[in-house]
Amino acid sequence: MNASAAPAFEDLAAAVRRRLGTATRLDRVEVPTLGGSNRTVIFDAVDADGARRRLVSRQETYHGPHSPFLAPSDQYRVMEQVHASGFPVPRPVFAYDEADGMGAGFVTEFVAGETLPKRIIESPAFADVRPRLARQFGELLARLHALPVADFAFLGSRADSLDVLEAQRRRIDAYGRPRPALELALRWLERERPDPHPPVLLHGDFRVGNLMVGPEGVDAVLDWECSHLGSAVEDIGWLGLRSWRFGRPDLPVGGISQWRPFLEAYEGAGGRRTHPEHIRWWNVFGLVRWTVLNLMQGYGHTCGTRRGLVFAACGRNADLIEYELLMTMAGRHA
Amino acid sequence: MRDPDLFSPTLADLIETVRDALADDLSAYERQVARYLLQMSLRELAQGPSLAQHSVERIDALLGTVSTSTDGYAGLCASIRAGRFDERLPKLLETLIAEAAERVAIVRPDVLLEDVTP
Repeated sequence: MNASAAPAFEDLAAAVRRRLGTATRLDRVEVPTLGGSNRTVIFDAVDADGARRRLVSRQETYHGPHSPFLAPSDQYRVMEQVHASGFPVPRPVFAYDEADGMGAGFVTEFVAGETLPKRIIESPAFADVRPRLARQFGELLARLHALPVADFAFLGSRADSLDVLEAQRRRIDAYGRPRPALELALRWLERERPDPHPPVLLHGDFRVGNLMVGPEGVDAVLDWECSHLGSAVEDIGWLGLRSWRFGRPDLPVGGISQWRPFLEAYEGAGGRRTHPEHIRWWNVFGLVRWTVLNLMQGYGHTCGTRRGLVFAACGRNADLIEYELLMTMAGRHA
Repeated sequence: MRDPDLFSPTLADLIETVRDALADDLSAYERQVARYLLQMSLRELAQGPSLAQHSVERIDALLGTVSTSTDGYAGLCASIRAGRFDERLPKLLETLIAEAAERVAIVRPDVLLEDVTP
């Protein structure tokens, strides 16, 4: 289907012309069916000479006082600064403003590669790169955590930057459904909370699925909507969630590797020494947070802001993650 | 006894959602999700009443109350938050695992298979 002439994309075409020149047109427009919290459109911007630039537009579809997501303008700012540091992130092109009439969002360059976890974990096409990925994950996170935190001070007032447990509790309360498993977990986390580490910039959703993998390894780190400031171990515990192992629960780093190569690379690249009991605490916390993110999707569905099959399924899937959370706390899942 | 609803979204909401989605052309992925929701709904029709009953019994056992509805989650949550279970967290954990497993048996029972020890 040549969707570039469809009225649905006229606003996008106008926004692109405003920044890239009045003669610019859109071509090869695609709307990926997967994608939870944003409307994503991939397209070519073609200039008067016929030169093409493959770009990605992301528009916010869920917002509210208890949204766990960073405002798109702040996501864009994070990506600009991270990109300027040389970190592999899609090059930011422009952020939408009021004149675009498209709500909040931004456009970046498209990075080709594979994000589908099953293919990265199982496909023979990635057999050569797979053994190197865990070390790359470690090096990338160490680089990210070493960026000057003062450059990201604008993230400091986010609920997730201030008190991770309180942030989750407030969201659970806002969604209006009491969840005993989450209460138990939050109580346990409160009582076992490790001493705070100096805050660093966190990606907030660093895992297989958000990493664009090519023949040489990770080409880009995507999806910065959860970034905030906090303990470096938060990103590590999240990476190790069983939910991101995709059929290989025996391999805690993304269904690809044991912890050792990841942690050696992380520490070798300047990351802080990480203790297993801290990873476990942040793993339990990550399962709370992952449950709450699914509850949020379900809440958007039940309160009618954004209904749909996938959002309804997310609401129900919160029960699956709670089960995982409880089994992890009981030591039956690692 | 089904008051208030056991799950969110509710059983009725799941069926409505699938019905509404059928008004459009669905992708293969969306058809798969629709089927997933309907299978879950069928399991809830069969197993929901016993989950509701067990849920009440479990919460009553924890709180030392005698209830007639499944609205006990709120009271249990308030007690946990206030620290009244701090000395009994392992017992609470075991009870909630039993509760969660029964819920998972409705939502997606294959998740439980890997935890069955031969």
